[in-house]
Amino acid sequence: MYFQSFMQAFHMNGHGVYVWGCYGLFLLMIAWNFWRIRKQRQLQLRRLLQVRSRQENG
Amino acid sequence: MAHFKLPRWFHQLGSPKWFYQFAGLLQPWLALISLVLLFWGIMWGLLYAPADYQQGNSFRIIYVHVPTAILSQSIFMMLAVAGAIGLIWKIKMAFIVARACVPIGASMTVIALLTGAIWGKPTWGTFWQWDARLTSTLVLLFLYLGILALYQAISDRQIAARATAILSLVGLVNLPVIKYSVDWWHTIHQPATFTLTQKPNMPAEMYLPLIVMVSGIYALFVLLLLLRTRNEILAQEGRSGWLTKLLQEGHA
Repeated sequence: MYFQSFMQAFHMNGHGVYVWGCYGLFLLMIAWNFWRIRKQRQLQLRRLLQVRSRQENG
Repeated sequence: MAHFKLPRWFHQLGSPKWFYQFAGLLQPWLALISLVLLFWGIMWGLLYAPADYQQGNSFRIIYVHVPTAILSQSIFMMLAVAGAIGLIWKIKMAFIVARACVPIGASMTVIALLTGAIWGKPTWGTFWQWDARLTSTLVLLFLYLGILALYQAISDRQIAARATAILSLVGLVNLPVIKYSVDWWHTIHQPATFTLTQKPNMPAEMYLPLIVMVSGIYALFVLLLLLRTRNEILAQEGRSGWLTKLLQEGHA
Protein backbone atom coordinates (compact mmCIF):
# COMPACT_ATOMS: atom_id res chain seq x y z
CA MET A 1 0.00 0.00 0.00
CA TYR A 2 1.11 3.55 -0.70
CA PHE A 3 0.00 4.77 2.74
CA GLN A 4 1.59 3.82 6.03
CA SER A 5 -1.67 3.41 7.93
CA PHE A 6 -5.40 3.32 7.32
CA MET A 7 -5.79 6.67 9.06
CA GLN A 8 -3.35 8.14 6.56
CA ALA A 9 -5.24 6.53 3.67
CA PHE A 10 -8.44 8.00 5.07
CA HIS A 11 -7.00 11.48 5.50
CA MET A 12 -4.75 11.59 2.37
CA ASN A 13 -2.97 14.73 3.59
CA GLY A 14 -6.17 16.73 3.55
CA HIS A 15 -7.36 15.43 0.16
CA GLY A 16 -9.27 12.50 1.66
CA VAL A 17 -12.65 14.22 1.58
CA TYR A 18 -12.31 15.02 -2.15
CA VAL A 19 -10.92 11.64 -3.18
CA TRP A 20 -13.25 9.45 -1.09
CA GLY A 21 -16.15 11.71 -2.06
CA CYS A 22 -15.47 11.15 -5.77
CA TYR A 23 -15.19 7.37 -5.41
CA GLY A 24 -18.38 7.39 -3.35
CA LEU A 25 -20.25 9.32 -6.06
CA PHE A 26 -18.91 6.91 -8.67
CA LEU A 27 -20.25 3.90 -6.75
CA LEU A 28 -23.56 5.67 -6.12
CA MET A 29 -23.94 6.26 -9.86
CA ILE A 30 -23.39 2.56 -10.56
CA ALA A 31 -25.88 1.61 -7.84
CA TRP A 32 -28.42 4.09 -9.26
CA ASN A 33 -28.12 2.50 -12.72
CA PHE A 34 -28.76 -1.01 -11.40
CA TRP A 35 -31.59 0.19 -9.16
CA ARG A 36 -33.36 1.92 -12.07
CA ILE A 37 -32.95 -1.12 -14.31
CA ARG A 38 -34.31 -3.46 -11.63
CA LYS A 39 -37.32 -1.26 -10.99
CA GLN A 40 -38.05 -0.95 -14.70
CA ARG A 41 -37.79 -4.69 -15.22
CA GLN A 42 -40.14 -5.49 -12.35
CA LEU A 43 -42.61 -2.95 -13.70
CA GLN A 44 -42.53 -4.44 -17.20
CA LEU A 45 -42.83 -8.03 -15.99
CA ARG A 46 -45.78 -7.10 -13.78
CA ARG A 47 -47.42 -5.34 -16.70
CA LEU A 48 -46.92 -8.35 -18.98
CA LEU A 49 -48.39 -10.72 -16.40
CA GLN A 50 -51.43 -8.45 -16.10
CA VAL A 51 -51.90 -8.42 -19.86
CA ARG A 52 -51.69 -12.19 -19.90
CA SER A 53 -54.17 -12.77 -17.11
CA ARG A 54 -56.57 -10.34 -18.80
CA GLN A 55 -56.23 -12.31 -22.04
CA GLU A 56 -56.85 -15.59 -20.22
CA ASN A 57 -59.87 -14.31 -18.34
CA GLY A 58 -61.46 -12.34 -21.13
CA MET B 1 -27.13 3.57 -49.26
CA ALA B 2 -29.82 0.98 -49.76
CA HIS B 3 -27.50 -1.08 -51.97
CA PHE B 4 -25.09 -1.66 -49.11
CA LYS B 5 -25.87 -5.06 -47.63
CA LEU B 6 -25.46 -5.64 -43.93
CA PRO B 7 -23.92 -8.90 -42.69
CA ARG B 8 -26.20 -11.66 -41.44
CA TRP B 9 -25.24 -11.38 -37.75
CA PHE B 10 -26.32 -7.77 -37.92
CA HIS B 11 -29.83 -8.80 -38.89
CA GLN B 12 -29.83 -11.44 -36.17
CA LEU B 13 -28.95 -8.77 -33.63
CA GLY B 14 -31.76 -6.77 -35.22
CA SER B 15 -34.28 -9.38 -34.10
CA PRO B 16 -35.56 -8.50 -30.60
CA LYS B 17 -36.08 -12.16 -29.73
CA TRP B 18 -32.55 -13.14 -30.67
CA PHE B 19 -31.07 -10.09 -28.95
CA TYR B 20 -33.07 -10.69 -25.77
CA GLN B 21 -31.83 -14.25 -25.42
CA PHE B 22 -28.24 -13.61 -26.49
CA ALA B 23 -27.96 -10.67 -24.07
CA GLY B 24 -29.27 -12.88 -21.29
CA LEU B 25 -26.43 -15.34 -21.90
CA LEU B 26 -23.75 -12.61 -21.90
CA GLN B 27 -24.91 -10.83 -18.75
CA PRO B 28 -23.32 -12.99 -16.02
CA TRP B 29 -19.95 -12.92 -17.79
CA LEU B 30 -20.01 -9.18 -18.23
CA ALA B 31 -21.04 -8.75 -14.61
CA LEU B 32 -18.07 -10.84 -13.49
CA ILE B 33 -15.58 -9.05 -15.76
CA SER B 34 -16.70 -5.56 -14.79
CA LEU B 35 -16.83 -6.41 -11.08
CA VAL B 36 -13.29 -7.81 -11.08
CA LEU B 37 -11.83 -4.97 -13.17
CA LEU B 38 -13.55 -2.17 -11.27
CA PHE B 39 -12.70 -3.63 -7.86
CA TRP B 40 -9.09 -4.10 -8.91
CA GLY B 41 -8.89 -0.63 -10.46
CA ILE B 42 -10.49 1.12 -7.48
CA MET B 43 -8.22 -0.57 -4.92
CA TRP B 44 -5.16 0.13 -7.06
CA GLY B 45 -6.02 3.73 -7.74
CA LEU B 46 -7.20 4.53 -4.25
CA LEU B 47 -4.58 2.78 -2.13
CA TYR B 48 -1.61 1.57 -4.18
CA ALA B 49 -0.85 4.07 -6.96
CA PRO B 50 1.65 6.75 -6.00
CA ALA B 51 0.52 10.32 -5.30
CA ASP B 52 1.31 12.98 -7.90
CA TYR B 53 4.31 15.15 -7.04
CA GLN B 54 2.33 18.32 -7.79
CA GLN B 55 -1.27 17.46 -7.03
CA GLY B 56 -0.66 15.02 -4.19
CA ASN B 57 -3.42 12.56 -3.38
CA SER B 58 -6.20 14.47 -5.16
CA PHE B 59 -4.64 12.98 -8.31
CA ARG B 60 -6.40 9.69 -7.44
CA ILE B 61 -9.64 11.25 -8.65
CA ILE B 62 -8.32 10.68 -12.18
CA TYR B 63 -9.27 6.98 -11.88
CA VAL B 64 -12.97 7.77 -11.70
CA HIS B 65 -12.99 11.08 -13.59
CA VAL B 66 -11.26 10.09 -16.83
CA PRO B 67 -13.09 6.75 -17.37
CA THR B 68 -16.53 8.33 -16.87
CA ALA B 69 -15.60 11.30 -19.08
CA ILE B 70 -14.33 9.08 -21.92
CA LEU B 71 -17.35 6.84 -21.65
CA SER B 72 -19.82 9.73 -21.61
CA GLN B 73 -18.52 10.71 -25.05
CA SER B 74 -18.31 7.16 -26.42
CA ILE B 75 -21.91 6.53 -25.42
CA PHE B 76 -23.04 9.66 -27.23
CA MET B 77 -21.19 8.49 -30.32
CA MET B 78 -22.84 5.09 -30.06
CA LEU B 79 -26.25 6.66 -29.54
CA ALA B 80 -25.85 8.75 -32.69
CA VAL B 81 -24.54 5.82 -34.76
CA ALA B 82 -27.39 3.58 -33.56
CA GLY B 83 -29.85 6.35 -34.41
CA ALA B 84 -28.34 6.71 -37.88
CA ILE B 85 -28.57 2.94 -38.48
CA GLY B 86 -32.19 3.09 -37.39
CA LEU B 87 -32.93 5.98 -39.72
CA ILE B 88 -31.15 4.53 -42.76
CA TRP B 89 -31.95 0.82 -42.54
CA LYS B 90 -35.18 1.16 -40.52
CA ILE B 91 -34.01 -1.35 -37.91
CA LYS B 92 -36.15 -1.13 -34.81
CA MET B 93 -33.51 -2.70 -32.55
CA ALA B 94 -31.11 0.14 -33.39
CA PHE B 95 -33.60 2.65 -32.01
CA ILE B 96 -34.14 0.51 -28.93
CA VAL B 97 -30.38 0.37 -28.28
CA ALA B 98 -30.11 4.13 -28.81
CA ARG B 99 -32.81 4.73 -26.27
CA ALA B 100 -31.09 2.44 -23.75
CA CYS B 101 -27.86 4.44 -24.14
CA VAL B 102 -29.29 7.77 -23.03
CA PRO B 103 -29.76 7.41 -19.25
CA ILE B 104 -26.44 5.56 -18.90
CA GLY B 105 -24.61 8.27 -20.83
CA ALA B 106 -26.30 11.00 -18.81
CA SER B 107 -25.27 9.37 -15.52
CA MET B 108 -21.65 9.07 -16.71
CA THR B 109 -21.62 12.74 -17.72
CA VAL B 110 -22.99 13.79 -14.33
CA ILE B 111 -20.21 11.88 -12.56
CA ALA B 112 -17.52 13.21 -14.91
CA LEU B 113 -18.69 16.76 -14.18
CA LEU B 114 -19.07 16.26 -10.42
CA THR B 115 -15.72 14.50 -9.92
CA GLY B 116 -14.11 17.14 -12.12
CA ALA B 117 -15.57 19.89 -9.96
CA ILE B 118 -14.45 18.18 -6.75
CA TRP B 119 -10.98 17.66 -8.22
CA GLY B 120 -10.91 21.30 -9.25
CA LYS B 121 -11.28 22.55 -5.69
CA PRO B 122 -7.90 21.39 -4.29
CA THR B 123 -6.16 21.72 -7.68
CA TRP B 124 -7.42 24.98 -9.19
CA GLY B 125 -8.97 26.45 -6.05
CA THR B 126 -12.45 26.49 -7.57
CA PHE B 127 -15.26 24.03 -8.25
CA TRP B 128 -16.21 25.55 -11.57
CA GLN B 129 -14.77 27.75 -14.31
CA TRP B 130 -16.30 28.51 -17.68
CA ASP B 131 -13.40 26.71 -19.29
CA ALA B 132 -13.94 25.26 -22.78
CA ARG B 133 -13.60 21.61 -21.72
CA LEU B 134 -15.94 22.05 -18.77
CA THR B 135 -18.49 24.03 -20.73
CA SER B 136 -18.58 21.62 -23.68
CA THR B 137 -19.03 18.71 -21.25
CA LEU B 138 -21.92 20.58 -19.64
CA VAL B 139 -23.38 20.97 -23.14
CA LEU B 140 -23.06 17.18 -23.52
CA LEU B 141 -25.14 16.72 -20.37
CA PHE B 142 -27.77 19.13 -21.72
CA LEU B 143 -27.87 17.16 -24.97
CA TYR B 144 -28.52 13.94 -23.05
CA LEU B 145 -31.21 15.65 -20.98
CA GLY B 146 -32.73 17.17 -24.11
CA ILE B 147 -32.92 13.74 -25.73
CA LEU B 148 -34.53 12.29 -22.60
CA ALA B 149 -37.05 15.15 -22.59
CA LEU B 150 -37.83 14.52 -26.24
CA TYR B 151 -38.62 10.86 -25.51
CA GLN B 152 -40.92 12.01 -22.73
CA ALA B 153 -42.61 14.63 -24.86
CA ILE B 154 -43.46 12.46 -27.89
CA SER B 155 -45.82 9.61 -27.12
CA ASP B 156 -45.53 7.92 -30.52
CA ARG B 157 -42.51 5.62 -30.15
CA GLN B 158 -41.52 5.70 -33.81
CA ILE B 159 -41.65 9.46 -34.13
CA ALA B 160 -39.78 9.86 -30.83
CA ALA B 161 -37.07 7.44 -31.99
CA ARG B 162 -36.58 9.32 -35.27
CA ALA B 163 -36.64 12.77 -33.68
CA THR B 164 -34.10 11.81 -31.02
CA ALA B 165 -31.88 10.14 -33.63
CA ILE B 166 -31.76 13.42 -35.54
CA LEU B 167 -31.06 15.41 -32.37
CA SER B 168 -28.23 13.05 -31.42
CA LEU B 169 -26.71 13.33 -34.91
CA VAL B 170 -26.78 17.12 -34.64
CA GLY B 171 -25.31 16.85 -31.15
CA LEU B 172 -22.32 14.93 -32.54
CA VAL B 173 -20.82 18.32 -33.41
CA ASN B 174 -20.10 18.74 -29.73
CA LEU B 175 -17.79 15.71 -29.50
CA PRO B 176 -14.79 17.13 -31.41
CA VAL B 177 -15.32 20.37 -29.51
CA ILE B 178 -14.88 18.49 -26.22
CA LYS B 179 -11.90 16.56 -27.56
CA TYR B 180 -9.98 19.49 -28.97
CA SER B 181 -11.12 22.10 -26.44
CA VAL B 182 -7.90 21.67 -24.47
CA ASP B 183 -5.83 22.30 -27.61
CA TRP B 184 -7.91 25.07 -29.17
CA TRP B 185 -8.25 27.14 -26.03
CA HIS B 186 -5.45 27.18 -23.53
CA THR B 187 -7.46 27.42 -20.39
CA ILE B 188 -7.59 25.77 -17.02
CA HIS B 189 -8.13 22.11 -17.91
CA GLN B 190 -5.05 19.97 -18.38
CA PRO B 191 -4.47 18.32 -21.79
CA ALA B 192 -5.51 14.76 -22.59
CA THR B 193 -4.14 12.09 -20.28
CA PHE B 194 -4.43 9.40 -22.93
CA THR B 195 -4.08 9.32 -26.66
CA LEU B 196 -4.16 6.13 -28.67
CA THR B 197 -0.99 6.98 -30.54
CA GLN B 198 1.35 8.21 -27.84
CA LYS B 199 2.83 6.71 -24.74
CA PRO B 200 1.23 8.28 -21.67
CA ASN B 201 3.18 11.03 -20.03
CA MET B 202 3.21 9.38 -16.62
CA PRO B 203 4.82 6.32 -15.03
CA ALA B 204 3.30 2.86 -15.47
CA GLU B 205 2.21 2.57 -11.84
CA MET B 206 0.03 5.62 -12.48
CA TYR B 207 -1.46 4.81 -15.89
CA LEU B 208 -1.94 1.05 -15.55
CA PRO B 209 -4.70 1.45 -12.93
CA LEU B 210 -6.33 3.92 -15.30
CA ILE B 211 -6.32 1.35 -18.10
CA VAL B 212 -7.90 -1.19 -15.72
CA MET B 213 -10.59 1.33 -14.74
CA VAL B 214 -11.33 2.31 -18.34
CA SER B 215 -11.68 -1.37 -19.34
CA GLY B 216 -13.85 -2.04 -16.31
CA ILE B 217 -16.20 0.84 -17.00
CA TYR B 218 -16.59 -0.19 -20.65
CA ALA B 219 -17.52 -3.71 -19.53
CA LEU B 220 -19.97 -2.20 -17.06
CA PHE B 221 -21.45 -0.06 -19.82
CA VAL B 222 -22.05 -3.06 -22.07
CA LEU B 223 -23.73 -4.85 -19.16
CA LEU B 224 -25.97 -1.88 -18.33
CA LEU B 225 -26.78 -1.43 -22.02
CA LEU B 226 -27.84 -5.08 -22.41
CA LEU B 227 -29.98 -4.91 -19.26
CA ARG B 228 -31.66 -1.69 -20.36
CA THR B 229 -32.15 -2.95 -23.90
CA ARG B 230 -33.83 -6.09 -22.57
CA ASN B 231 -36.16 -3.93 -20.46
CA GLU B 232 -36.94 -1.86 -23.52
CA ILE B 233 -37.73 -5.04 -25.49
CA LEU B 234 -40.08 -6.11 -22.68
CA ALA B 235 -41.80 -2.75 -22.94
CA GLN B 236 -42.16 -2.77 -26.73
CA GLU B 237 -42.59 -6.44 -27.60
CA GLY B 238 -45.04 -7.22 -24.81
CA ARG B 239 -47.60 -8.90 -27.06
CA SER B 240 -45.16 -11.08 -29.04
CA GLY B 241 -45.65 -14.80 -28.88
CA TRP B 242 -42.05 -15.61 -28.05
CA LEU B 243 -42.14 -13.39 -24.97
CA THR B 244 -45.38 -14.92 -23.75
CA LYS B 245 -43.80 -18.33 -24.16
CA LEU B 246 -40.66 -17.30 -22.24
CA LEU B 247 -42.87 -15.82 -19.55
CA GLN B 248 -44.91 -19.00 -19.24
CA GLU B 249 -41.75 -21.04 -18.89
CA GLY B 250 -40.46 -18.58 -16.29
CA HIS B 251 -37.37 -17.66 -18.32
CA ALA B 252 -38.08 -14.05 -19.19
